[in-house]
Amino acid sequence: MEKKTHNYRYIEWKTPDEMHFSSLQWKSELNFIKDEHRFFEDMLKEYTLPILESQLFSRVKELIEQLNLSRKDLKLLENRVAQHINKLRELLENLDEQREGREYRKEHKEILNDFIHYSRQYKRLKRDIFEVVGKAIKQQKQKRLLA
Amino acid sequence: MNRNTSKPFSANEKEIERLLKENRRWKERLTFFKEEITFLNLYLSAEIFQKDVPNLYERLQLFYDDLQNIKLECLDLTTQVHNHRYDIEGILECEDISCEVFYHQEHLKLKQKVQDFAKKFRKFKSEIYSYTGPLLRRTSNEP
Repeated sequence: MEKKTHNYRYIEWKTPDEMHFSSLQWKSELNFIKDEHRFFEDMLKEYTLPILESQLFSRVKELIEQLNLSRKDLKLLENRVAQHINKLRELLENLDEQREGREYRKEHKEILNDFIHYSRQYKRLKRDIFEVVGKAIKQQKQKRLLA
Repeated sequence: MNRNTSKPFSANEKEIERLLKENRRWKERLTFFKEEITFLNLYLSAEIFQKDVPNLYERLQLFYDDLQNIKLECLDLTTQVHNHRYDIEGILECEDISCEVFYHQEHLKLKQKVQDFAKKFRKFKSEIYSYTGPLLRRTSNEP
């Protein structure tokens, strides 16, 4: 999907404290997604019998690959957020604050953009997982009723 | 705590548009939560867990009951967000500042409610993942 770049002009008004708070929120959200990745991967890999029976196997394989890609993207974003958090500490001690502050805000906007883009992509992947696993569960239930 | 960018609110069309945009974002978020709730409903009642796990069904039932409450809360919040849209549009018709301030405060309160709900739901999902994840039936090991 094409990545739209927004300007997020309101970042100009954010205080360092507010930017720091946003960065911590990104970090916490990414941590949660990491756990969720593990859960979905377990579900897709372990819950194989009904998936094989429902003939959704190739679709599931694709989803596992997408999960792997999503995990790699998450790692990159996580590193950038961690560096961004550390940079703020350095920035507050730096004398050349004005120029550094501009750069920091620019970076904050870039990460915000990428974070939003990542979240959208991840939501789509989750929707696909819900659809496929949901189908397999429903088919399994129907089979049990008919058996 | 509300950490909104501390720019004073003034009721002009640009600001109203910003509030409406925020309102749309909450709506999208809640719609996605509803999809997650539907999936978790199906997941918790599926026969995909290992057999002979002590208290498994009791635990699943507790999760299921909590999920029904979360679902109701989500629906209620969706209605509030939907209705709040008309309040935002009405701000331009306010005749004094206290009226504008009142609706803006309501906006911030609702924002906090959506954030609190998201946090609570995330915690609940984490509990489901960590309890049920290891209990998924391993096809290779179990008939």
